[in-house]
Amino acid sequence: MTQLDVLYRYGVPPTERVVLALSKARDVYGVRRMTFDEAAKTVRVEYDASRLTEAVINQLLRRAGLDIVETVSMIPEPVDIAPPAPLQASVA
Amino acid sequence: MLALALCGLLATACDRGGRPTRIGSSAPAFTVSDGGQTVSLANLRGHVVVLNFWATWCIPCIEELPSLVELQQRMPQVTVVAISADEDADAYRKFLVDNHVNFLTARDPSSRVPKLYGTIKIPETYVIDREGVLRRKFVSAQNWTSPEVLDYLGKL
Repeated sequence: MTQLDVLYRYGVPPTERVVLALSKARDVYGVRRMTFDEAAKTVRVEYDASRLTEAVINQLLRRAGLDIVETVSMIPEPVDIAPPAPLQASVA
Repeated sequence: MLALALCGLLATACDRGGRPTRIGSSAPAFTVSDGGQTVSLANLRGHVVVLNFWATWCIPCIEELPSLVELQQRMPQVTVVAISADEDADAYRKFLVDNHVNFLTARDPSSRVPKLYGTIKIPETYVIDREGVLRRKFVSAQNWTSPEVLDYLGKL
């Protein structure tokens, strides 16, 4: 098993009907976990990449009625670090 | 060497790796009637049955559906039976028409039949022999027209 995670941002918050449909989507082989962050309007899906692809996960959520806006990168943005100042020779 | 190969073959007899407890025992009897169609396993005794649990909203289930349709065409002596977990009867009927599903199907929105078989995730498929014995379990989507599957079913 190869476990992967994908993070989606959604627009319209899921209705009760959509939540029920999403809970059924978890019954598909390879879907391991779905975690919603209501404040950030994101859903994180853990899936078995040996059984499913990200495209299938995306379709499953859309078919359930979730308004997916975009896929969010789970790789943190690199922090800009200023290059060290060149050493200056000093003469005593 | 042969013993090792046999052990390996047995270990991979089921896609999950282990041997499900029901394999080798009688398939649980069921009758499903969804208003339009009635499917009873007892009526299929004497046939090899490919029992598939699916739903129209399940993308992997839909992906394997064309190969089940083709399997039914290529092996009419095998009876493909699909039990759907769909709750929406209209969406289910429309799907069957749109996709020219040619095998026996019935809708079981309460998932009573899958539960009898211990199925909690879909797609999942069981092969039942002519005597009504569970012979093999397949988890996740399969290519039902692969030479290996056709050969296996042909020998039952």
